Amino acid sequence: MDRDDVEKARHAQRGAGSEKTSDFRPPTSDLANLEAMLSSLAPRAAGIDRDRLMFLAGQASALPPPMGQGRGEGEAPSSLPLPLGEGRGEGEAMRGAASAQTTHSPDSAALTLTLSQRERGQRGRWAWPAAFSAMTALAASLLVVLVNRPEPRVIERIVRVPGERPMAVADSPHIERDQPTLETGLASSPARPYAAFGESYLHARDQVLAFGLDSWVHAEPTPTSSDETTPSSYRDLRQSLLQ
Amino acid sequence: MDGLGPELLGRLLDEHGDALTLYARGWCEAPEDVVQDALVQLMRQPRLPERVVPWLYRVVRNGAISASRAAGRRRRHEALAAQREESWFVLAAGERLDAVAATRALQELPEEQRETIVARLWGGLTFEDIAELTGASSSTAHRRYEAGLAALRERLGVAWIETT
Repeated sequence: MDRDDVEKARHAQRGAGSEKTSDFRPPTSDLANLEAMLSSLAPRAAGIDRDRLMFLAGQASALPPPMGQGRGEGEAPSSLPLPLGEGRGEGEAMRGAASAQTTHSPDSAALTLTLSQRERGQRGRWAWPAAFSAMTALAASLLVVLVNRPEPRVIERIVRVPGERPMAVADSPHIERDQPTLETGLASSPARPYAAFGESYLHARDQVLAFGLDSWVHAEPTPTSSDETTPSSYRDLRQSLLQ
Repeated sequence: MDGLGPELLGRLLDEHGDALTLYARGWCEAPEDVVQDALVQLMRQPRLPERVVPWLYRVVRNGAISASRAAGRRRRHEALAAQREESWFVLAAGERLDAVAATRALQELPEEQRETIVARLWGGLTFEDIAELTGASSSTAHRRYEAGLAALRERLGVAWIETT
């Protein structure tokens, strides 16, 4: 292996790599020669479809970075450690594929996507899931409240009816005309048990509450002699009054 | 803007695509897909990494290892057996080293030595970059490089080539 081959290999190595510092010193000339010979071998061309790569790259640049990626990786902007040649216009497919693109070239400024737009897009991406989560939590809490709601309270209220009022009603004939008599003892006015028992209304009520309505009906006393003279209808009542 | 433009992406592909693919060949059977994914991932970065080429090698390394794990051991062995039949380098007349022999010699190297040599010789990374890439120290990377070169010299018979 002559010196020209070594120099050629080193030149190819510098062209292929970025920076080759002097942190490595081959210990022997044999290894240096082997290093040069290996460097002269060109790697087989990668079968990467350039158009597809540009298309995918354009898509990727338009989309916001995924979670846990991007912002943390990004460092202060710096220049590429690459020898940069002339562009070959492969970005046209990329520009056509993506709606927005982060690029250095000023002619594509209209298609650029600023960082603030990306941040807005990232916030907007979280807005709907956050709203959905909040509404779901609200609906779940309302469901829990509905299920665990206590039964409505039943309030028992005892209404005391004054005892004189039924008597007044019974004594008034036109009221009796307006309120036709009912067959059941319960629907009849409270004056009936009150008058029948000759006791207080409270006593009759306690009896009914304690033993039921049947006990009150069966315990109803036979009509007295005064009841026999009681007119059975309004006509009889009028005749008796006229007499 | 501090993103990566299409022109720079094209230059990255031209100047480092082959070496990155060669680097990924040590693990997986579809190195082009891994390199393509790494470049797309680079485009997704809102800001360029401070050092793009080592960043790409790190992403390619992770992607290639993940791809090889996903492919499974049986398929990986089959792929490696199939790869032994083809060269990793361009076959050119007049080369002092046989590309196929160099490929076989590289494939037979331990993984650490092989990736160190590929990243150093064809990727142009420094030993500090390789150390950061492999999670080892610079001296370890240097030692692996020398050991790999010595193993390649034995397998390729460079000493014999030199003497003749």
